[in-house]
Amino acid sequence: MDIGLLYHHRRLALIRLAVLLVDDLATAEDVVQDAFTALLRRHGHRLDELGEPEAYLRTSVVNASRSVLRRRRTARRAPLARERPCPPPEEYVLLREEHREVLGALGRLTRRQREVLVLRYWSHLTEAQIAQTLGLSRGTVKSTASRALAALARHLEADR
Amino acid sequence: MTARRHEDDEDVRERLRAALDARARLVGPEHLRPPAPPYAPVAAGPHLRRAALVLAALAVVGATLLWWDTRHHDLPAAPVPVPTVTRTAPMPASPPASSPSVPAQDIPAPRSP
Repeated sequence: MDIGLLYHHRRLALIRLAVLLVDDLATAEDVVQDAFTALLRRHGHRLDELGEPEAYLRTSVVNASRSVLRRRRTARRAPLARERPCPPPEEYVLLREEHREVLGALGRLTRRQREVLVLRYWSHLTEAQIAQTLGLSRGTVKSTASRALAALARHLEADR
Repeated sequence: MTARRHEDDEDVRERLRAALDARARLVGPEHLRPPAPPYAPVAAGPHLRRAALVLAALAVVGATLLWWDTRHHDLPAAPVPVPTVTRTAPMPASPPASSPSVPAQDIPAPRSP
């Protein structure tokens, strides 16, 4: 497969995945662009040698999103950082109230729980694929997903 | 009890799917920056190649003109000797008294005996 085709067909889906992880379109676009650039630098135009280029890109996007979240957390801990949490993105006004509630509850989960849920329920990956993407065992993915759903339910219940 | 819990879990999953889908759909192709594929420099290859060809042609023309100029000018075979300045006694500021500073026609001719 050629990287040009991959870029045109998968860029939007990968940006959406990154948006669900970092909650910011501009950052998500940067993350995906960096992932494609790294892929090109490492494997060139022909990706035949790479078994699953899309899986490779997905892992790159998840890892880069993690780095973004880590940097944000560090910035928030800085003494000069604002005390108040960042306001939700302005697109949120376009969402229905029930969706906003769920996304708010999702934002209160741990990073790994959020990643597992997004990959499972938006990317529709299997447990094996999630394990490969996140570098975890299948058992860990299964238990993380189960705990994450339970925590999400608790948060939603508490918000009522 | 288990059936109730299963139902609740399914409800949370459904709500999660719907919320994730709604959030993702807020990002449409029209919201993205114009595509800037990482392979863009290669896509611009024809332009770069054209620019390189023009530069190469200019270089060839310049080299030819230089060669022509070198061949058709009478350039000295050997370097022109630079005249050396020898030190001489300093010239007097004003001519000595015996020097013919007076024009020749003003000098009276010697009388004949």
